[in-house]
Amino acid sequence: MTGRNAGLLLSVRELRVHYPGPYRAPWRRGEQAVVRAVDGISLELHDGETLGLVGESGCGKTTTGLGILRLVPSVAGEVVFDGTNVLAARGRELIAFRRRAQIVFQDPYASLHPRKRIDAIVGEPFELHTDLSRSQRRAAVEELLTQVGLQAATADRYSRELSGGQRQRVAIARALALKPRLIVLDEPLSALDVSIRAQILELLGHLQNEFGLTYIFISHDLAVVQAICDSVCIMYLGRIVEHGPTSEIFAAPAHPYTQALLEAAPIPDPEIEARRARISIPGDVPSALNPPSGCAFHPRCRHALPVCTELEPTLKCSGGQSFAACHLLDQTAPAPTKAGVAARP
Amino acid sequence: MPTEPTVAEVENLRVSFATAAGTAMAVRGVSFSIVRGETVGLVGESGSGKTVTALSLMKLLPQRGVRLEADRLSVMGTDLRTASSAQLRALRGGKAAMIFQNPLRSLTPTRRVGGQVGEAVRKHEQASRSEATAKVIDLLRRVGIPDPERRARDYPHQFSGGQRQRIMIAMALAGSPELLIADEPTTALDVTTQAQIFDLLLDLRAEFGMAVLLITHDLSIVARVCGRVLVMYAGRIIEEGTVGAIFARPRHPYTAGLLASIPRVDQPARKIKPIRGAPLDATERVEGCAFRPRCPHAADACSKQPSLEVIGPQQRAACWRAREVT
Repeated sequence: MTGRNAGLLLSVRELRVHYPGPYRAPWRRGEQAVVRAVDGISLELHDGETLGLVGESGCGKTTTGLGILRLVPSVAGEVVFDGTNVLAARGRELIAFRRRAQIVFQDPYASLHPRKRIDAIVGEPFELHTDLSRSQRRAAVEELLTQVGLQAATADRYSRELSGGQRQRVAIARALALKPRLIVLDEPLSALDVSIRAQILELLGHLQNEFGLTYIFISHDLAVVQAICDSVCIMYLGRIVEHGPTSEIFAAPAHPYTQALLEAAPIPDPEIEARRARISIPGDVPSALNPPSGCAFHPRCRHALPVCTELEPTLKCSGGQSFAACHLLDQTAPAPTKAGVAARP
Repeated sequence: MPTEPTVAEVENLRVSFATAAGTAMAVRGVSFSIVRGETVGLVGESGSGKTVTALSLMKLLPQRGVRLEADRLSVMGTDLRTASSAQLRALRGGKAAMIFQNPLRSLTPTRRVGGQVGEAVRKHEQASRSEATAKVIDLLRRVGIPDPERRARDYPHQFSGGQRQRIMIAMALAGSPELLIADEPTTALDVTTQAQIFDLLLDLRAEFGMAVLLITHDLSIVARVCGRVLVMYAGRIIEEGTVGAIFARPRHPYTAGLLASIPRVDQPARKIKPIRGAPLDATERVEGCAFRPRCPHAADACSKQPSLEVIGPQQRAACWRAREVT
């Protein structure tokens, strides 16, 4: 097992994050409602790879990222990161994990302390996890800032003096401080201006090469995901509906939801847009409080079969190294055996 | 399309705000016109002045601390510079309507949506209560709210984001507008919902023959929805033309740079090339072309402000070197 899984950095099995639903008075009958934000997700991530977590708001992609980092309460399942059982780790082991796995949040206007200088923000990880002296910390901060393309003098400024792109660079510098192996990037481009997004994307790629980083890239933007991710997980209502190598999923999406997402993604070319079929999927994402029976996507699916309302589909090989959870796979080509899952490198 | 009547005309619009950091020149001289039935995209990054331009067209900017000047600013024949507040009230939500980015913030949380759409209906036509109700239900049906009779009695929080934006569109349609200004109408929505809203807007545009001014930062959306595009940078239009012409051959280095910097779902191997630097701050004074500090083709000539010049059929660009470098 260990031999074949060389280079495996992160392995997630049946991750579940359930939140209590809206307040229910104690004298009311019935059980407290539960929001199944993440409901049984398994994934694997190899050293130096980028995994995309894609889906619409409410699909649980952010919660998955937070769950893997153990940043939300009541996480169930198994997360093994480089030999550490994350969900069971305590004390030093947990602190060591925190050093090696970091996160960059979506909104750099909210994720940086408004009253602290950049110096203190980027230097805080050193303060907490190392015994560097004040001057050593300052030198380390300045080096980090240069690495993310900022001037060393930015250290003396406040986040409010910086633009959105510069702030996101600061957040990346902070995540890099302790030389992590894994960085969860939670929609790191969405809050930025169009002309700045490509700069940050380029920076992320450059840092990955330089430091051998592994990324979990959470996004709803399929074009960006295709540009930087090696593999991708498409999520819908707390579950993975399709996953596999990015090239395979984008070339031949097997799940109707993935197909719909790709069809909905606009292409900056009016000639192509004019020729494209306009099949927008109806309705909205249902509430995770009360998910539909069977396949959660069936109320919006244009191929829904009777079986889809009853039976929840499991992930099956959909060709190559890709897997999709859809009953249609059983209907068309002979379904590949389940052995395909175990044989995945 | 010179035969179609003009619904909006703007000439040399300048808008500035008094801020603590000095005067912010949000719009530094913008001219364009929109004719009946066309869909125009107004594209730019945050701070480019696109939203302020749109708000000026509805005269929705605050009076205090704002300086609005224009050689011409008329919508549906009303001169906004001199219009009385009664004229403006009749225009807004009547012949010209606007929808905004965050539909939840645009709706009153404590009133049923039917009542809110009904208010828009009764503002612009003499209708009895029952006639208004019938019209409300008809509008909600047209924008794709299922079971409108029942849903009209619901409150905004009972609708999803996409449905709320549909309700905003229903309110905008209440006065049978000739011009609909949509300010980033789908930025707060998911991609699949975004596609639904744009399909709806295109259908309604065809049905009502109204012109749509779509304000967005997303060039891909413009390619999908618009016929003509105005690209703004630092308070000026730096390129304009038909969508076909501009996407096939952008002539301003900023437009070209933007197009080169966005990844595309249909081109997996595409190498993206970022534009260097950051957009100009509105409080900064500009000598010459505002894009010069970020432009790969900047030359001495660029220290003078370029004006929009015809550069191709149905295309104009404000760049001294457009002919040489593109």
